[in-house]
Amino acid sequence: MMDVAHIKKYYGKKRVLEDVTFQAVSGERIAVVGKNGCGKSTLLQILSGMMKPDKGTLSFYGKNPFSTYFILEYKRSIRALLSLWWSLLLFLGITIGGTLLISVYLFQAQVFQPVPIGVVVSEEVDGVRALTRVVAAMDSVKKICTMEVMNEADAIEGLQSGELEAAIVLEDEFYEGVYDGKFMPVDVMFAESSDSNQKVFRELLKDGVSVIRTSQAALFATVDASSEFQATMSFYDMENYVAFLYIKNAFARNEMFQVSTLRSTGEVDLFQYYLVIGITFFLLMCGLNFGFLYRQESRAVERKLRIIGIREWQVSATKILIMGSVLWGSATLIYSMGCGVSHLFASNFLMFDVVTLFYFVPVMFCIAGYFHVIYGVSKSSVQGGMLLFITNTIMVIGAGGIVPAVYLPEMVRKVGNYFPLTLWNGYLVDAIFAQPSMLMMVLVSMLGFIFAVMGAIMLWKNT
Amino acid sequence: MEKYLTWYILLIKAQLKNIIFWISLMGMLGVALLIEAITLPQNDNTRVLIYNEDGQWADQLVETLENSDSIFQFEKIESEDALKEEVLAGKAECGFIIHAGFRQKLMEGDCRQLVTSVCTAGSASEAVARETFYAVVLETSSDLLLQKVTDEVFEGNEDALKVLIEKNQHYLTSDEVFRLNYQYFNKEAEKHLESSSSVDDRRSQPIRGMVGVMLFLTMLLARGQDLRLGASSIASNLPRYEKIKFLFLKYLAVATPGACLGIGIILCSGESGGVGKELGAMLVFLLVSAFWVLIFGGMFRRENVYSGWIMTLILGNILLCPVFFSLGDYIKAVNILKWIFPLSIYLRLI
Repeated sequence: MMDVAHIKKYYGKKRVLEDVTFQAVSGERIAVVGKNGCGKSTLLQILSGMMKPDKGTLSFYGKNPFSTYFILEYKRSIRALLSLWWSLLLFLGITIGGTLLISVYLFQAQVFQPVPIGVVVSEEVDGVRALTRVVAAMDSVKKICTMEVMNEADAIEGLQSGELEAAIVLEDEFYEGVYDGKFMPVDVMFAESSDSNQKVFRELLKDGVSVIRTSQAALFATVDASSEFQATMSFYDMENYVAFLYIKNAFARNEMFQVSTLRSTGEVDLFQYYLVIGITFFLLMCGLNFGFLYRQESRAVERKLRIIGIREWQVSATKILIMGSVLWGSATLIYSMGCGVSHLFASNFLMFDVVTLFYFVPVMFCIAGYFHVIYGVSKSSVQGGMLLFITNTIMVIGAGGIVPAVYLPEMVRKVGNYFPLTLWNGYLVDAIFAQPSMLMMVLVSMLGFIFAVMGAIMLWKNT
Repeated sequence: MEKYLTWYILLIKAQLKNIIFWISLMGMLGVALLIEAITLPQNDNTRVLIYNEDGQWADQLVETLENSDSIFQFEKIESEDALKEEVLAGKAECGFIIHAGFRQKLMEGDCRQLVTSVCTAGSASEAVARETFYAVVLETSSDLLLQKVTDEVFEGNEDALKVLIEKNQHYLTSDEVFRLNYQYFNKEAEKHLESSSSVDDRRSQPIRGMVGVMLFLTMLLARGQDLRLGASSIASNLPRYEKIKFLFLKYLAVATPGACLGIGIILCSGESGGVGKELGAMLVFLLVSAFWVLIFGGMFRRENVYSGWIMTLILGNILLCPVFFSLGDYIKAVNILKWIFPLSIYLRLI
């Protein structure tokens, strides 16, 4: 329904329309009849929004023009976005696949592939087999290699086929040698390779040998010295004392180190980090779909909207509200899907919390404000789309979206800290896995407000 | 022919007046610089940093480590913060902070938490670096342990200590103590592995890939512009075959100036395969892409539906072709699917 109330219009001092009031319902046909110059065209121009009345109001559906505009614009946007659901779904799938791929790639880059090692031990010698099991269970050894006991022929075949990187040959008398303190040389066979993992294994082997050699040298030196100087204990006790001193030291070596593990992704782990990156990336790239709100035709309509009393800030607010609510809906959908998958695999990686959906609100409107600035600066939706793609790409790389920011040069990192994406990522990490602080919420809201104002000014200047 | 050349030149001129073109050029340059600046940690990183808070004795230990025959390159660093930053950035595998009072505590036999080992979740060989560090500490501090042995076994006899240290040195450099004999075997699979790894190295080409993506995007957006203009576009007023030729030339023209900059960027980067190869590959890429956009764009009548597909296409290109990481390593079907995009052809031509 269209409601025209008390419209007045003057051309200078000449009164053209005086207190025009009527209502028209949808489908109703109304004839406007009158003499030349009585104001028929003026009235139609006012009704179509091409001219502004001096007094009176024009409402649609019994509401003011703004609410009508808002509803129509919202409906139009939903229709436009629904026509894209196939591509949006595919895009979501690709984003999930991509973020999973990057996180798995980086995770694998961090994992050392243990080197397969054969230990050649005679089947009859239980003591050496037991010793092998003890060594294989050591932390530093487990991280670097997997040990398998086998015979010499299998070991050589394994080395030649590339299944083994090295094989350690322990003679039948090895265990007795260790027990008596008479070590004999141990043969180690390597597959000729420049593989870095094999080099690391060789290093570990060298370290172990070095510790044994140091202890044995001290023991032999003490035995030799006891023949020149009077010892205060028996030969047996003396040997035991020196051996125990070095063995105790060697076994306590882990106590010497306090391990401090730093995280390239800050407080969150790699998968949490990339989940948030995936969400923000999807939302940012969704911005390319909002180009229809800023087409030249839309701007022509906006110029006319001014005439019926809809101000620039109202147009801007409408666009931000539309984009913000669509982004919020998308984020909610992704979050819910993530929680569902997490629940399906009985993992507590992501737990659904309704409060999180409320936390999404400020950041989604902040991102919508950012889109508004980009499209507001641009003279067309195509230009805006290109600018948005480039800005998004630079922000995603600079804020640590492809690889964590610590792998970027210091200068880029410093600049990246000021990218809005860094703030959004930090906020979303807190919103999804913890609780964002009040300061963070205020910051995001303020940034959103600044974007909205900037966008409104740009749009006003370009319209 | 002359007519088409004139069209092509005029379209390039129009493109040069388009602000989007300049934005995309700057973007291309910015993205390439950012990608070039990324340094990912490698799992074969062998640099190990040491920060010494203790005195001169620990300095000697660091010197021994620096000169040791190890796969790790031990390096002294001047501050704890710098050590942490380098480890975090993946420039060093790990780092050790030798705390004040290190030697004193070793002498007292208290070995607890004398050193902080700084690493990341990605420091795969940190545990081995720790073993190397410890092996050198034990060898270097063996004199301190021998002092203890002298006190207990030889009632602190100084002459006995001298003999002990001397004999200890002798054994350490001799073959009389435990040792390993190394033997090497030829690996039959080595050749095969080497050739497959050289293919792996070519899989992701971020700079060339992003240049290709930007050019492809420029062409896709040009098609979007035609859809928006509809009947008022120049192409729509031409006869059918002329229209196809015009659009083809238009897509080529919008990407040509960017392609020139792109080649420049690639030549300056480490991904270049030489001027001739780059020019040839770029020419093939532009021709295939223009043809591709012509066919793909022809499937749409509404601009907003088409625009929605642009970002999906671009992301699909980045992921499948592959620009940064190879999805084909995990999903084999991708290795076939990727050939529908011109970017895959471009990335394989060099």
